[in-house]
Amino acid sequence: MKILASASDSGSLKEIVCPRGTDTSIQTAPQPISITTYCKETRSTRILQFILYETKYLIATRAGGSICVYDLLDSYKLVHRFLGFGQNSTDLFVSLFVNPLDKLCYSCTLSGQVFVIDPADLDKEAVKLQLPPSNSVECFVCDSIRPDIFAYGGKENDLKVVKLEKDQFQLVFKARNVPDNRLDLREPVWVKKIEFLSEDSDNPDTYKLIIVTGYGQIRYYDSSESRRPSFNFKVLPDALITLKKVKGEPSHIICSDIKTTTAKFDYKTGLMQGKFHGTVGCTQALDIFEPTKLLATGGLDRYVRCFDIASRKCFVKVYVGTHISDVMVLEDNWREQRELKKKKKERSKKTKSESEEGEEDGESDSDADDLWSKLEENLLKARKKRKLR
Amino acid sequence: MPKSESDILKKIRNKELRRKIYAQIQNDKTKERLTLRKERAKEEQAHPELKTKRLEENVPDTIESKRVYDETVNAEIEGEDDFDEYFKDLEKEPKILITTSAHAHKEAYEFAAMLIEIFPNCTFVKRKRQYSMKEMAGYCSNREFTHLIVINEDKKVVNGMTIMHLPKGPTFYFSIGSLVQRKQISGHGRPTDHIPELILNNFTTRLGKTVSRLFQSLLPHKPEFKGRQVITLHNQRDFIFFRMHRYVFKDNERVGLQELGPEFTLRLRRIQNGIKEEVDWEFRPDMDRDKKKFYL
Repeated sequence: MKILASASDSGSLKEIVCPRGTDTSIQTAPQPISITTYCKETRSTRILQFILYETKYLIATRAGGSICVYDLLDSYKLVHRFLGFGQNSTDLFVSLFVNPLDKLCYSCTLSGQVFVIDPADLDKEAVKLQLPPSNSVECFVCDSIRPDIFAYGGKENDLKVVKLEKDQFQLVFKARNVPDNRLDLREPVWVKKIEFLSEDSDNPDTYKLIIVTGYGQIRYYDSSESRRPSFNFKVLPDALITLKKVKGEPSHIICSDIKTTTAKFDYKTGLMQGKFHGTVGCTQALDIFEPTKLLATGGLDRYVRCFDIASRKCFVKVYVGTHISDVMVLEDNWREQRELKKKKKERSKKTKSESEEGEEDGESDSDADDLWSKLEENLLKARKKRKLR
Repeated sequence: MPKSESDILKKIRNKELRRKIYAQIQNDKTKERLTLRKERAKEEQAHPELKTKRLEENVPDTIESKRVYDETVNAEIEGEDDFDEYFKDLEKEPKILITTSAHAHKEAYEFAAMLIEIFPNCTFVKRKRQYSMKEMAGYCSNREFTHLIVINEDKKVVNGMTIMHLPKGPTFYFSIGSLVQRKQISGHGRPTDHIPELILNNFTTRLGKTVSRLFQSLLPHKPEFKGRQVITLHNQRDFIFFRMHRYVFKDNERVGLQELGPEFTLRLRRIQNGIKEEVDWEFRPDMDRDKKKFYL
């Protein structure tokens, strides 16, 4: 399998090629075939997020306000660098995604500035947009079925859904905070990650979203029901910082917190379905590889791990040597490899059995004759006995 | 003890007599062992190759030698970290602010006084209860402090220490044990104002190197050799032993040591990214279950 991880300390990208069962902390276990470093820069220009654009480009946001486009087919060669994003050096990128419908690349900074790039035409300048004025933005996402619908939120900046019309964001849904607590105190707001749960069958004016907060809560919003969350559960005592929806498993999400917990939760019941064990530091990046249902994690403990989502078993553990800010599984040809191995085994078995048969033919004939003769003798004896009686 | 000897001892019913005879047997054995050793030493002095051969053959098994494999041991540090600024700018000297936990007692202040004597360029500020650690870190970075040390004391016992590297972290929390004050050490000396030298022993893993870089960053780059003072931080089985000595050159070969104190043992409990943000590494009690696995 092939995994990409962004190394924060060296500002580089690492490509890991390894078989399943790899564990660098056990000497007798399989070791990675290769760990190659690409796109090396400095820590001050480290990669914050990266995504793939079709099978052509890798787009990465870097600290210091730049977006880099690398060629996937030409060993991650820099194709284009967009510079001068963000208000200052501390205005870091918080989101990067390619809208699946209009095929444009969107990125957003803490201050709420949105930059739109067309990867199909890199000579075109980036379009700069501004989210409606609010506190800091910590997450900005797009809807997968409506190309002009986006959602964002942050610290003391509750969930908002906006529509992009003529380079202007129009507010279409604004979440309402949960009721005051039992001491009649206002609940603080800190949106960390957002995911749309829209389906094709949904009403076009209905927005279904899920968020995780900096206070360890998971909230599910359905705009057709209420502006307040339909489900709100405090699942962990610490801040949740990552969120991924598990496709094919209804109401299941995978989250990680600022400590060592990475776990699967049911957002409708608030129950933990199971933990992904092994990490000793905070998990900062999650990626789900849908074809083989595996979860890749990376974070401050400097290890890239891969888990099977169903069994939650770790089958890849690779020491990278630097903090990891983002991770992505590029390919996992495990099934093909398994089938190849099976075929090889069958072939070897066949050849073995054929050779054995060839050798044992003469012996087996004589054995069969002996057996038949013995049987006949026994039958004769039995008949004689019967006659005597 | 061979069976015959134990049988003889069992038959003696007088306790005093039995004790005497047992002591005699033990004494004879030690004498025998000593004579054997003396003979061996003589032989080995005449033929040094015998000694090397014996030492090669008789290697005792220790927990360290049975250590669980760790791929990060002696691996090169890749890229930069938060302490890079200190190591690149050789002119910049550390500036430390020391304070205590809220509601501290005399013991915490005494410990703080000791730290002020050890680390140069230290300032002590009495803890004000209204400020949190993050707020204090902010105020310190505004005043160009490079480190903030908060001494934790519970029930009149100093039991922990938080060290924050400013302005961007990381934050370390160590537990403190086996504290021996200077006055409790017999024949101790008094430290001078000279910048001490630093010896860091056995920090081999990536995590260990981060910890060692923290301790390096607490002291200025150039020690004052005139003072002949040395701080030793020795890591053994994830326990960090702090000792401070003054050395004396007695002649060309021999060196004398005078302990300056204090003595204490640190244990890393947590490293957090930034100022008390994401956990980089955290101690869990189940980490102690495998006695042969070490993290520093």
